[in-house]
Order: sequence, then structure tokens, then C-alpha cells
Amino acid sequence: MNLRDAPIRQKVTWVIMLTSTVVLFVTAAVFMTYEVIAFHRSLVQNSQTIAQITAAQSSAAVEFEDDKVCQEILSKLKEEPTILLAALYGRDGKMMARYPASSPVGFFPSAPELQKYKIQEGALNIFVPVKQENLMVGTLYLEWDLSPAYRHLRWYAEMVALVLIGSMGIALAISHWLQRRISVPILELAETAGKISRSGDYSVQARKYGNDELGQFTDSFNHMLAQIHAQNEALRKNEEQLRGALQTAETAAAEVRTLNTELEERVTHRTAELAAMNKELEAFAYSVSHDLRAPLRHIDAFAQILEEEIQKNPDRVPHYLSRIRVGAQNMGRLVDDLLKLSRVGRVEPKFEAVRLTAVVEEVLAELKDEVANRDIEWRIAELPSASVDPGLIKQAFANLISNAVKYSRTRARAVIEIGVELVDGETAIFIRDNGVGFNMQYAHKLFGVFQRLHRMEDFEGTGIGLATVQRIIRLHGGRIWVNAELDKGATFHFTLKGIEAARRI
Amino acid sequence: MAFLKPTGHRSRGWSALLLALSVLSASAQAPVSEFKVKAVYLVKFIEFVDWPDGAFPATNSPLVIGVLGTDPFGRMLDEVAEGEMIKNRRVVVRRFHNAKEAEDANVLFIDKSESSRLRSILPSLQDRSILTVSDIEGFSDKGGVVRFIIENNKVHFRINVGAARRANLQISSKLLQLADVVHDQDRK
Repeated sequence: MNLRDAPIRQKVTWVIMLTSTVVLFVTAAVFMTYEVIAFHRSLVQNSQTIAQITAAQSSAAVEFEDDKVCQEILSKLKEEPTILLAALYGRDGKMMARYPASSPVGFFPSAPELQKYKIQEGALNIFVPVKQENLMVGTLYLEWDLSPAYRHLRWYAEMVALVLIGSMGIALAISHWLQRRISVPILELAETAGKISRSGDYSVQARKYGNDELGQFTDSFNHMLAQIHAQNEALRKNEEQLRGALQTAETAAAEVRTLNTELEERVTHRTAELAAMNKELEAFAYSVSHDLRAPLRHIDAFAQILEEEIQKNPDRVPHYLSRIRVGAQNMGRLVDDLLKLSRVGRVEPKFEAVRLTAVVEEVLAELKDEVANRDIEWRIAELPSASVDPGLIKQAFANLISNAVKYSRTRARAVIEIGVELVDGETAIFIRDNGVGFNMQYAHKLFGVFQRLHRMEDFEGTGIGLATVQRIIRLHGGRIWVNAELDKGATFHFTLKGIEAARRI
Repeated sequence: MAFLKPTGHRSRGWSALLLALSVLSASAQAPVSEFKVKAVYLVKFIEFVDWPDGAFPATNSPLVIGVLGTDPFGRMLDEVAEGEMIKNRRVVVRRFHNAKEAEDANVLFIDKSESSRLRSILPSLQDRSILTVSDIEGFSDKGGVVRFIIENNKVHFRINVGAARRANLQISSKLLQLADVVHDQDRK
């Protein structure tokens, strides 16, 4: 594995372990080497000491060639169990005694050697001169069993290995503990940094463990985080403010747009209204002047005739005067009706609960003289009450009923029906007659000012009545429509907001 | 080492001895062989005995092996002792005819021929530090220090440690180990 990419935790452990292992191994090697050398030296020294003591002891026995005593001296070596073989050689190099006495001669060197000691086949061989008074009288040979020594060394090596392993274990434990002190803050820093980079949450702070370089680094890191966090906060606030401002501006713009649209609509509507009104006014002005001219021309014509005939036929004067008066009366009626119409638009309506049946009865009472010599079958249903302007609603009923009376006078028996029915879910009041009726293709002209579908000669009228009715119904939030058939009669329906309201109550 | 040096000196003696031994063994005479061994022993005793300081007239005085009475060694003792250098002293062999002369010896072999005069000889030497050696029967009992005895055809020796102490001689325990040791404390 590449140490460069290894986690810090492992790196620290490796550093500590490698250092301690190398140190331990070097120490152990030095100790072992020293021990082997010292042990070897002490072994040689020890064995030589024993050999020299034995040699010194045996000098007389050798010198006097007393094999028995030589044997006795050597037999004392059994106290030292590591001595495998021992032999004494006389001055002439001949073997005098051997130990153990039972071992065959072939085990021993046939003659003493000059070499002081040598190690071979797991044994230490020593030759020591037997001296008396600085004279060499013989040689002592000793063979030491080295296996206990090797066992001791092996035991020692095992102990060292054990200590080594134990020390490495302790080093591992310490390194584990130490690496935590170093790596945990680093790991936590790395984790914090990673978390921040993932979540973008700069409000997090890294935990500080101490005042070392890592601690200082953590401080700087935290300081940096705090700065970024503060900047982010400021940015966020700015953005929020901007967004708020933007939204306000957008809302305002939308409002302005809505207002504009509404305004435009209103303007368009108003313009259309104005245009319609203007057109109506134009038509009205035209009609007024035209219709007013008719009686004026009438008056003028008879006045001119009167002027011419006043000398020639004075008896005809009252006739012409009466004709002039008719013209004036017509004109007066026209002006009256116009005043009424204009009043409908001018005066503010005052709504109050009104029994519509009572209104109808009132109108019929006023028409009593007009219908005196007529055969009319009245079919009048009970009408509901409604919140209406009493004066205006009475005028509407009066116009519609007198119309019905007027256009049904050609019938021998007129039938006029006044009632209530539901039309498209709306309560509508109707007035039906069995009069002359009219062609429905002219229905749209019916409610215009001065619009007349019949000749003045057949049915008198100013052409203002139905226009007035329509204006009153509109003032009451309702609508008016007509169904008719030529020669079969006509039915007027109208709705009133006041009825609906009353019905709901 | 130090022991190598004397070896050169001694090798001559040893070769001479070996030569003599071969000659003697060829002649197959037991007594000759016995005295040959005794002669060698006489010289070797020197290595294991310490004399007091006053035993020698000077530091370089030779160590004297004396023979009192009839000389049983012939040339053998001279040959063994020749060239020997023990305890930094030359070893010389002298022959004495009476006890008075023998006072100069350090090691004194008293021959059987003197057995009748032994009672007078030993007391006269009593104050001297002389290692007395003899074949005479009852030598130890009479106050002699070392007596040669033959056991199993081998030359052995008996040492009277009381006599040795009286003679102010220090005999190495190593030598005593080989010897037949007797005590005669009550004897004067």
C-alpha cells in the first residue's frame, strides 16, 4: 500500500511502530550480541578457572605419576555436570587418567594440544598445562557440554523475543493512544470540512482539542468558517431584501397592470357607453327636433291657412283654430313626455317595499274614463311585493297597461292579462294583450325614443313611452323584453331586482 | 608462558633420563630401576617442599641434595639433578660421610648403611631444615621426614608431618595427597 495515501491514523501508527521496532531490534541485537560475547567469555573463563584449579591440584599426582590419585582428582569433577570428559596427560604426553573412567580412550585426544581452547560439536575443549613451580609437568584436558549454555542463550533469546513482542504490543497500544491524540483532531477537522463542503452549512464549528499547531489550525479554520458564515448571512440577507423588494415591485407592477387593465376596460366601457349615449343623444336630438317640428309645422300650416281664409271664410276660423290647438296640445304632450323621460334619468330613485298589485289597481283606476266605452276582459293575477321606487314603477305599469289598452282597441273584445311567471329561473312580470301586435323583426326598435311601429293616424303616441319604461326597469336592475306576432298581440316581460330580493327575503 | 622457559632446561635432563631408562630396562635389573625412580623422586620432592628463608646462605645458593652413607644411586642421581633449576636454584648433588657434614644439605638421603647410626644422626640434624629421606625401616618413627616404601612394585613414600614441622619445612598438601602420612606429635 502506498504510505502517501494511507490515512493519517495509520501513518502515525506506522511512524511510531517503525521507530520503536527499529530501536527495539537494535537494542535487542546489541543486548544479544553483548550477552553472547559476555556469556562466551564467562564460560571460557569459568571453565578455565575450574581447569586451572584442577590442574594445580593434580600437579603432584602427575609429577609422581600416581594414576590413582589422578583418577581421584578427576572424579571430583562430577560436581560439575557440564563437564563431559576430562583427562590428565603426563610430562611425556601419555594419558594418565580419564574421567569418566568408564569412557573409552577413543573419546579423548590421544595427545595434548597446544591450543588453549576450541569449540566443536557443541562442546568446549580446553587444554591447561599442569604446572608446579613454573614447571610444566603435564596437561589437563576438559570437555564441557555447551548445550546447557546454548539452552541458556536460547532461553535468553526467547526472553528477548518475548520482551520485544511485549514492547511492540505496548508500543502499539501507546501508538494507538498517541495517534488518537494526533489523528482524531485531524480526522474531525477533515470530517467537518467534508460535511461543510457537502452541506454548505458554514455555521458548523470544528472541535478544538488543544493549543498545539492543530489547535491553532482549528482556530483559524473556525475563524474562517465564521467569516464565511457571516458573509453568507449578509449575502443571504441582501438577497432576501432584494427578492422582497423585487417581489414588492412585481406586485406593484401587477397591481398597476391590473389597474391599467381595469382602467382601460373602464375607459373602453365608458367610451362605448359615451359613444352609445352620444349616439342616443344625437338620435334623441334628431328625433326631438324632428318630432317637435311635426306639430309646429301643423300649427304653422293651419295658422297660414287661417291667415289666408280669415277674410274669405270667417266661419271656418274656429275650425282652423281648433286644428292649431290640436297641434299645440300634441306638442305639449310631447314636451311633457320628454320631461318625464328626462326626469327618470335625473332624479335619484328611492326604493321602498311596494305591493305591485296595488300599483296595478291604482293605474286601472286612473284609466277608468279611457276604457269606459270599451269591452275589455281583465285577467289580473296577484303580483308580489318588491323593493322599488313607487312613482317610477307606477309610471312603468301605466305606460305598459295604456299601451295594451291602446293597441287592442281594434278588437271587439280585448283581453289584457297581467301576471307573474318564471322565465329562465327569474321571476318576470308580464302584460299581455290580444291587440295588433307587430313584426318581431322590428322588436329592436321598440324601446328607442320616438320609435314608432304604427302610423300616428292609426295609433296616437309620442314614441317616448317604452323608452321611458325601459329606462325605469334598468334603474331597478331589471330587463325588459317583448314577444309579439303581427295581428295576434304582444307580451311584455320585465324583471325587477327588487322582486328577487323580496322573494329571497 | 613462564613454564615454557624451564622446559628447555629440563628437556635435556629428561632425554638423558629416558636414555638411561632405556639402557637400564634393557639390562633388566630391578634394583637399578628402583633407585632410578627414587633419584627422580628426590629431585621432584624439591618442587613440593618450601624451605624457610634461613635454610640457604644466600639467595643464589644452590639447593643441595645430599647422600649420607653408601651411595646407592651411582651416577643416576647426578644425571637426574644435572641442569635442574628449581625455585630459582640450581640443584647440586653432594655426598656426605658424617652427620656433621650433612648439615649443609637441603634434601638428605640417608642410605641403609647408616641405619645403626640413625639414632644419633637424626637428632643432630633436628635443628636444621633438612628434608630427610631414607629406605630404612622405622625411619618415620625415629623422626625421619620421608621414607620410601615399595607397594605393588611401585615406589611410594610415607611422610611424617610432625618431623617436617619440627624441621620447619612446608610440605605441599598435593604431595601429602600422594603420601602415606603419619603424625608423631608426642615424639621429640
